[in-house]
Amino acid sequence: MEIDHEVIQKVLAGDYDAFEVLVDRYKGRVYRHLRKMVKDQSEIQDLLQETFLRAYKGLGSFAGNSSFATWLFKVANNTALMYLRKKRPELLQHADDIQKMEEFEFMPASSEFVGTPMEILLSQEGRRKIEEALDDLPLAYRTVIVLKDIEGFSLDEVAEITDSSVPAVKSRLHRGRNFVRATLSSYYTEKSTVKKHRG
Amino acid sequence: MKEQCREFCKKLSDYLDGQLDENICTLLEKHLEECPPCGLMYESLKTAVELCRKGLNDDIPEEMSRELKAFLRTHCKGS
Repeated sequence: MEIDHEVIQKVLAGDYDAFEVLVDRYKGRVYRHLRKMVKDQSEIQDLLQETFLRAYKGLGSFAGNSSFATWLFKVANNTALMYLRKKRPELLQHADDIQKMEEFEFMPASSEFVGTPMEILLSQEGRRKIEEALDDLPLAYRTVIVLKDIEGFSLDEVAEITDSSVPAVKSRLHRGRNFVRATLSSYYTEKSTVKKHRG
Repeated sequence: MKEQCREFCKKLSDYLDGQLDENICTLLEKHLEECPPCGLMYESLKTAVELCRKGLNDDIPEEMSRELKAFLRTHCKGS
């Protein structure tokens, strides 16, 4: 497989088919990122198209200081944020809701959650609960979890994509992960209690 | 929760990411072994991170992928 840098040189030399190689390589990952920023499928589609169009037009400005993936995700992130500022500003007003997040930080862990087998945690219902827990997170926290834990970017890369400092990314990761942990723990504890009562 | 436990719990996320100095790692690991509630806290945080990674890896719908390529061909090719 050709490395991104070689493919980019071909695109810059006028080879459009080479751009489709990059689209195929990254469309799934960018889709997953955008899907966690906006909910509606047609909004996701518009933002996905806008992201790759901007990437194509701006490829000449890609200096190679970061990986292409980091640069592309930054384009996607900024495209989605611009859209949200215009159309859904309420989602950004509570983007960094520290007060809401602090109460989950030290919520005790549950043995029911840790003791639940992975195949149940990853069943259809389990996946829905993970999805709901992430959706309840303020946007700034959800974004760093998606970029770090799902897409596998480094802390430095997440900071670059989100225009934040590394300490800010670490702090959001810590609080966001604890929110997901506490939400899932409560769900599995409650589920286990109901099961016991039914006997 | 004891103050010492709170301080260790604040470091769990950095520990998962390999961001702690070796001497702090050693102290933390010793504490996790000796303190069951903190040990459970670490296990549940690790599980939550693993679930996000494994549970949310859905792919782009085929139709959206086709429309993306058609859109880009129209707007980029020959521009």
